[in-house]
Amino acid sequence: MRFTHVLNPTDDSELSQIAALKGIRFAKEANAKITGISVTPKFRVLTFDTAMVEDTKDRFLADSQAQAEKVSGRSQTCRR
Amino acid sequence: MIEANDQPYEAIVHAAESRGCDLIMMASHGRRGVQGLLLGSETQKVLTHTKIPVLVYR
Repeated sequence: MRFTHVLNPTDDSELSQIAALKGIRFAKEANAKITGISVTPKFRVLTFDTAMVEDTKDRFLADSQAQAEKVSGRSQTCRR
Repeated sequence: MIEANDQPYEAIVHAAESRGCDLIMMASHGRRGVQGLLLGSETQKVLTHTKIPVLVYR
């Protein structure tokens, strides 16, 4: 059985980071492409102070991006 | 890639199917750790919602 494209979901847990490294090695041996995915909760904030909210969503996305990059080295942000 | 979704399994399955992935490889448990369960909840949901083979790392 031949695999051509592996999807590797990760969160910030240690086990998923180990699984990611194993996944990369597995994909290399199988000559397959590998895509990492990190799912973050949708951004929601409750505040009466609207000035506070302006930067927060961008910072949330930036922090999520940095977290995903730590595991995969390269990431691409998608928004639905 | 990063997806925003309150249901991680949904984003994972959608990404795998839309990208034509033929294997999903993921940890058995995530953040909440091994709490005497065979599989973590999101891994279970991924398994339930896709026909793509899933390789579970324990």
